[in-house]
Amino acid sequence: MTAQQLFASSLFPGSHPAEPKLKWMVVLSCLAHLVAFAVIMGLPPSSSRNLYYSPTYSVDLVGLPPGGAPLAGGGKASGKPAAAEVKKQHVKLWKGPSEITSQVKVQAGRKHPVLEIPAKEKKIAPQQPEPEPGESAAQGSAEERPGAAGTQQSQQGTAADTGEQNTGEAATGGGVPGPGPGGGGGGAPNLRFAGYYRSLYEKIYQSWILPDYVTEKEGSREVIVVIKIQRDGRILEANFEKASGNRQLDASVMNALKKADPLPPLPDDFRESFLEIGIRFIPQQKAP
Amino acid sequence: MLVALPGRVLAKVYIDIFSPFATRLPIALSPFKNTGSQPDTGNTAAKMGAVIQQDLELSGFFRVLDAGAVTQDPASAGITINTISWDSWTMIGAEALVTGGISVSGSELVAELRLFDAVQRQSIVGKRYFGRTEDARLIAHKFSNEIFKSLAGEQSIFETRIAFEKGSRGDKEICIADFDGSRVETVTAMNSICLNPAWSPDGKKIAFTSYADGNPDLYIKDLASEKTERVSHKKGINITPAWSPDGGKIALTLSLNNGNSEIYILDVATRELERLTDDPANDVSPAWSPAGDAIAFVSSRTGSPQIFVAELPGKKVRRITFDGSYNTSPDWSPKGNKIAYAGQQGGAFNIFVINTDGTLFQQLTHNQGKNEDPSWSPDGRFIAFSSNRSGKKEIYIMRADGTGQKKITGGAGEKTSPAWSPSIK
Repeated sequence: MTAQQLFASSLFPGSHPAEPKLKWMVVLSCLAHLVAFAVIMGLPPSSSRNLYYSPTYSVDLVGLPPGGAPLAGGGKASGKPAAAEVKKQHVKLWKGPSEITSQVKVQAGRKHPVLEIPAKEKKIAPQQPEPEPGESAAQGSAEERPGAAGTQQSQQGTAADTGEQNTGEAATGGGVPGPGPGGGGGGAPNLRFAGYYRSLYEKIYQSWILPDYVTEKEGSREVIVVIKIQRDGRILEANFEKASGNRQLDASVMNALKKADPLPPLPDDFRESFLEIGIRFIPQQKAP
Repeated sequence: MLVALPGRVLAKVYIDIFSPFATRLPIALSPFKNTGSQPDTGNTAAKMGAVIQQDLELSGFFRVLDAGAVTQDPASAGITINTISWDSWTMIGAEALVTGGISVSGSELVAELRLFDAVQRQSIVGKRYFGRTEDARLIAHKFSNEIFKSLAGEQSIFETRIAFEKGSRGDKEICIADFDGSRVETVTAMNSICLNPAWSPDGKKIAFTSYADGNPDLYIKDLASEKTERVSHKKGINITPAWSPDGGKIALTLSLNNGNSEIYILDVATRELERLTDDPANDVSPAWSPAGDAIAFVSSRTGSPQIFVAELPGKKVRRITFDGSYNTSPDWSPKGNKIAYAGQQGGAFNIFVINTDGTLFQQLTHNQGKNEDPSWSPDGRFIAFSSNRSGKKEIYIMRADGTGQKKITGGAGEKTSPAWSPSIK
């Protein structure tokens, strides 16, 4: 008896004569399932949610925006503009000369290094000559300084997201997590990895150094980085989902991740080949 | 089954991490090297490194790591991005790294100074300075400022200077030193009593009072041209000048009417005078608000000297200080929200800071001699003052919360009335 016969017989005991018809029905059924599956996968995300894991174990549910973000299975983060891709190994936070290119006769200005999130992989540059140092260059860079950025805090949230992945904007806009539109059930099973999340939290928290000169200006402007962790704990990729625009703050976050790498290996009962997870960095100001 | 699965897969987990409080950036200074062909007889490399280390520590934002903890031989440590042994620096926890190479040729000095992100192993800023060996300190301060600008995103005090009175009772001159007390220069040579130095907002001139002509008159010294000009010689006193933020006016104290001192505003270009205060009691020591819309001053109109503020358009006066029996020498913070002053409480003179609305006054010095004449640094993070805690009056600096008090002057003579320069660009 072939496998097919077995299958058929179990469904329709004693109906061997109708085998061709059964075959057709099975094919039809498969097709129908396939269509249904495709539709579900393409559905607007109202049926899913993000989970926020805080050290206090509080979990908030928020709606996942269009596009979703498949966790694993070799899937790519869909709906993510290529421009926001930053390969961890090649994050270039400082646009400075690696050799001295400006010569200063005791007093001279030079253009401020500016945070640059490269569109794609970039090697640490064989240096391009910097613009001629001079007063005008120094003046011109003034508005790129975080001091200027700090004054825009009222626009915090969506304004800071320009050019960033949509996910971040919709998921965390305003930083007010609330109950998602979807029903319960789907997210809960992830909390069985709470112990692992806690170990991630501890390792990254210990690596994060944020001097007061940043928190003074930035208040609690958050930065979200999505990282992909492979089975052995190494960070495959780290992408800004929401950068602050403050060079020092963004650099501190990337430095924390780099210092925390490798993270603890993925739990054995996590079956995918890598884990994609968002880290929300929230600066806290020293009490006045 | 299939329907339930996507929901589970699509759920995205975010971990929230709140920043730790009050962390200082761990920064390492690789020992500066002599990269030239001639010996560094003056030990310039080590001295420059020490100046930068001192600057960074003083700022309160950095934790300078002990380079001695690095296992490698410092003398062979690389100073460029491709030769630095990164692992040894990250091992001690450095987030930033400063390297320096100098070469000396006679009195000529070339210094290559670099700042790196030690975690990303990227260059943040690198500069080559040309100067003379005696400029080594200045160059080091300049690079300290580059470090601060690159990391904190604002001007530091490392290139600022402090003017003060120096001398004995009958012979005082105005001097200027770096904010750390080094490189002292005497700017007046009047063989007289010179008092109350005040920087113009562009840092190019100093107004002061001198008895050179017998009467306490007001002078302005142009630091570049070295020219001194008398701008006010009214009968009586012409003292305690304070420049308006736009540099066009000087508020000062005059005693035109029978010795009763009042605050006037002098137009520097036209020499026209406008009277600000009008009270039978003495009014002295004006200090402009950074916005130029108010002047703080001392008045004894309520009995003992207290700090008052006059709003400029209406000349409406309100009292700020109510604690203490003798509050003088107000100086308005660059951010505009606080006023520092010297106050007497229980016989001791100390430095205080109070909000401009009169709330939340805070004592910054405690039980250490007589502390007077506070002056804010241009970034509002520090205050200079004079104190006799060491036996004679010297200039001190401290952070604006009173921590890190440090004597910056020494040698002969008393030093009083410090005035912190604006940021010199």
